[in-house]
Amino acid sequence: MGKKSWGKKAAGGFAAVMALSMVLGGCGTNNKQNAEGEGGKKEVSVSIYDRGQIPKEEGTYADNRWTRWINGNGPVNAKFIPIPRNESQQKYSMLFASGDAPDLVLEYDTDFLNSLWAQKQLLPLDDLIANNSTEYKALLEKVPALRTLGTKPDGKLYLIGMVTKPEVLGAMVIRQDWLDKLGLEVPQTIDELYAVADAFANQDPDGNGVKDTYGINLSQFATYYIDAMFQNEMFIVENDQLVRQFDRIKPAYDFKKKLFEGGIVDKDFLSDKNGQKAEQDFASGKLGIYLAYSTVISKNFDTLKSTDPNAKVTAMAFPETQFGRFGPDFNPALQMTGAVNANAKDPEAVMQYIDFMVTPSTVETFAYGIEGENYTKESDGTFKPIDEATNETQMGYTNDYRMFMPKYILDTNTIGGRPADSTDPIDREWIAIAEQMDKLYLDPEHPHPGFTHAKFRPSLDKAMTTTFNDGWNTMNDTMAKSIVSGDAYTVDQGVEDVKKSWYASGGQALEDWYKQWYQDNKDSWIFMKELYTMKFE
Amino acid sequence: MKSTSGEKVFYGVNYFILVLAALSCLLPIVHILALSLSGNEAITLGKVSLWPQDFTWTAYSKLIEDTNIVGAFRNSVVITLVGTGLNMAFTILAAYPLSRKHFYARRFLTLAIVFTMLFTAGLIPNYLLAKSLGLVGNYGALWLPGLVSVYNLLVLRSFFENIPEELEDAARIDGSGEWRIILQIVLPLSIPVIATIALFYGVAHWNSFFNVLIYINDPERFNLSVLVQNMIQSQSLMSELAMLDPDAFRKLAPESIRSAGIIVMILPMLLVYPFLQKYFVKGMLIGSVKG
Amino acid sequence: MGSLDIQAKKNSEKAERLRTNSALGKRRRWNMNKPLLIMFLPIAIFFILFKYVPMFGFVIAFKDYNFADGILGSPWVGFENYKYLFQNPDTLGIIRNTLVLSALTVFVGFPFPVILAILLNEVRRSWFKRWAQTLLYLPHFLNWVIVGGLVLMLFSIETGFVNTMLERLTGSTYPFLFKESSWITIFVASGIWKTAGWSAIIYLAALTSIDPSLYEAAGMDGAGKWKQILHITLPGLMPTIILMFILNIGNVMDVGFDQVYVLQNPVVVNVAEVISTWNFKVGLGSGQFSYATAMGLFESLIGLTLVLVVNGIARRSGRGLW
Repeated sequence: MGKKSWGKKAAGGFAAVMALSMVLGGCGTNNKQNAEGEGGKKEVSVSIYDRGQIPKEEGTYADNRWTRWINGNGPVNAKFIPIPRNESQQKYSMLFASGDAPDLVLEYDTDFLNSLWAQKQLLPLDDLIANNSTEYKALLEKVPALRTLGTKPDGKLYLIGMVTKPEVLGAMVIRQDWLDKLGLEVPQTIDELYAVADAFANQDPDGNGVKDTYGINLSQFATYYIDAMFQNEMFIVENDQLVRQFDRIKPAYDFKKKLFEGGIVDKDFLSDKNGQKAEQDFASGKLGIYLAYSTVISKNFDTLKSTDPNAKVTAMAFPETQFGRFGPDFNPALQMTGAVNANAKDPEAVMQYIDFMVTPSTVETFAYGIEGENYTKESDGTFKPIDEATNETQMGYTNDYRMFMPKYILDTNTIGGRPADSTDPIDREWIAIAEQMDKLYLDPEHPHPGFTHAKFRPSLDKAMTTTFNDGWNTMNDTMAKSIVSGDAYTVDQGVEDVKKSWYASGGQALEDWYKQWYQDNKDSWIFMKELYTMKFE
Repeated sequence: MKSTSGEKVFYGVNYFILVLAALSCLLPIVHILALSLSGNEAITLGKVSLWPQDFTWTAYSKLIEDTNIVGAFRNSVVITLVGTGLNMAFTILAAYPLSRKHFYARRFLTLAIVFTMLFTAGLIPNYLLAKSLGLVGNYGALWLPGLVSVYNLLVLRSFFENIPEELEDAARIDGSGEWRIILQIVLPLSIPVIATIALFYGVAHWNSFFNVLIYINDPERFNLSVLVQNMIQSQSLMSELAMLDPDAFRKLAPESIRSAGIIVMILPMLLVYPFLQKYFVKGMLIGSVKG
Repeated sequence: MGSLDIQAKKNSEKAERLRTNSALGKRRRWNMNKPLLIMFLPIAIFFILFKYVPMFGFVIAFKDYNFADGILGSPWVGFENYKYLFQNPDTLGIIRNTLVLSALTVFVGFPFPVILAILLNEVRRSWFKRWAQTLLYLPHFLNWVIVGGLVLMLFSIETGFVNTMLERLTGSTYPFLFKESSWITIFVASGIWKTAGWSAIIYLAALTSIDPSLYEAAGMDGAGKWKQILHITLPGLMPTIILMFILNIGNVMDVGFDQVYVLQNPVVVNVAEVISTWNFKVGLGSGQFSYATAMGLFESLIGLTLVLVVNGIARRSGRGLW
């Protein structure tokens, strides 16, 4: 009996040693699978976000009509690895640590892709594209910016990206019927904005005799949009130098503080992190000026119209401040979204997959569906959906397969997210607003402040990333405190503390680095204005 | 026995506190239930408090038709039942020897086990280990690494220690081995704590979320918790993600469906607990000693 | 009562030791241990394989971990990661906040499950007891996002229930969520609300092992409810209370990410930023496993120290874990 148990113990010890060696070994076994799949096609593995929102009858993100379509019509056999959307980076990290990462990695967060590059997990694509690609190569020639943004400091191309048309993201709308009632105009300057917001909050624009309206919202992204009006970005170009500015913080926050103390905004805006309360206020007709994503405004516009059919809403330009006139955040035409795993078994097959997915006919299929099933082609060449509801079920989840597709070649049949030919009066009303937004917010004369779009800032090392993010958080938190604290914590004190904390956490080094980087790259990088003027046909 | 006036006051205060506390727990659930049965417009406008507005079953029918909630529910049940069974068997096997005073190296082993509770290796080493043992992609990765929870083990051990030794000594004299002592004396006398620990393990399995996402690759094998948490969590992290991925923003599940998910998730727990409570019988141990 | 118990325990331990010293005792002890060892063997394998083997991963706290080189191959950096973490001016404040919030959660929150269990124990109508118990444990199943929403419904300035009442009574409101002291109170209280009913279960189980005849005897002697609780119920629960306390104190650095993240707001960030939320916001959490591991090791060391101290104290009264 005793002997037997010792034998078992030894076996257990052996298992432990084995496991230990495997844990410490890192990448584990490189299982050289047979690269040949069904039908003699090569196998590639491709990541796909799992948002948990695929209709049951369609299958899973890894196996549905579109994955089958890709494998039936494409040159390679793609195996889709589902990546949980909300834990994508954790999941990728585990897969890379264990050597199981997919050949093609698709991820929106370029900082994460950069960290993969820094860990030598990405494959340089220059030669691969030169020798094995036709479609993506052509796209790179047509859109050279795609190469600029995908190239890492070692001078090689690593990232692939998507080319679309620039799209409105943030927006500012105002209740036109309230303006009319109070005899006011759409505000053009920041002082007029304050006056109008004040009137909205204090002059009973909804005429119910109760002071229950707010002039403007400050929740969620709205506070950043007010920063944008004052060009309050961390790094801006001034006198041909890229500098960290501090002098715009005070005017921006003086304005916010005045709004707060004047009772013009919801006193709870700081705890309305998801903007839900502001949505509710707007939808129930209690909010006069609404700063939010245009999609969010659109959603709540319908509710507003049903609570108050007489409500009239207009999109407005950001008002002018002493620093100029700017615009809200927008979705630029380019977005870097993917890279090839350095350990991909068959990089050429991965390239074939990429080429297939960026081919115009594939792009069209993923936008409109399959002819005869999802749409019919009209004599004038436009696509007419057969049944909207069926298409929503069958195609509502395809966006993540299209993450690096050149969507700019498509003719959109929607405006502001609604069918362009809709006859519904509320749709028509929104379409008019959305067209106005396109004009106002995609205007290169009034760009979003900052030297380039947040997605295209140069990649920083670990220490500087911390400094940057720390500086950003501290600024927002400290200054937010100054809004609500009255005399106990003034805006001036806040600015002082922001400065102090910036230099204490290595801000100077980051400033120097950025300055130098700008001198070296000012002719080659993609800057903000260019993002507005880029046009692809 | 007659209640004295002091006792009456005591019971009155006691009921009062408990009713208040229970209400504070009941009202939020009623609110969520009302949300799950209300129209989305009424929810957006903030009209729903404790009673559904624009009553509708849509959220539930959508959950059942559009999502794999039935499969996810089944997976949750499998994960919970098998997992809890394994947990209980091994935790009892661990707790019994550690509760015996004559067990070699008892103190050392206890310390060594507590140590593992304080020093838990990070995600990567655990993932690599699970992979090298072939656990990634199957439920083994959910069951084996958490086979024995230190917390539950120590709780069980401390209850085992309380069982009077005379009972066992008597059994030993009758010629019973350790296994029979466990089965015939220790376990029957520990039913309340066994039920408690089974509940702890079961609930942990029922709620397991992150491990399922990391270790299970096939979405068909995801559990209810992943399905529901995905809907809720996406909301709290959304402002961080929104700038990169506006699509995520557009596709948020409406509040009524999220609430329906929570109700489906909680309902089995509401049914299981009263069932377990009947094992919380008082004075079991004492009776056996005297008898 | 309690001290008698301890005395008995000490005596039996002494007798045990005496027995083991003789040769006969040794053989007998071996015979008694054999089945226990066999029983424990799979458990030992489990702990070695699943708990101790992965602990070698802690080496990356002293390395610059990258995926390409793996745990073994990544270059050593000594204490660089710690230097980096502790050079950041925010770090000390964050560690302080973590300790304060969790210490409050442990110390203030600790009595509530015990009280709840005692109150439930004194309920005579069994249907009421069953319902109350079940309702009280439900919050454990609510996600923090939901609880955060409930907190807003109660404490927001303009629409919160408490402030609406306050305004009606006193004519003014109070920014509960934006004052550090009231925020901390709400933080701790919401934690108690969410977990007390759940944690009470273990005490309810412990209550079943108290001899009901003790209460009868005390009742005969004319001891009131209060005295009975003080002299019978509490001493009966004491071993479990101590056990729970030692286990809780070990996790004192482990403030749940969700609770803080959901409840915090910019105004209270000076007291509300903890290690995990800071990691998340600054972006150390994602790719930078070395920092995370370095911080984790530090947290574990603090936890270990506290557990050793508390267990040392508990041992003096014969109630230590080991």
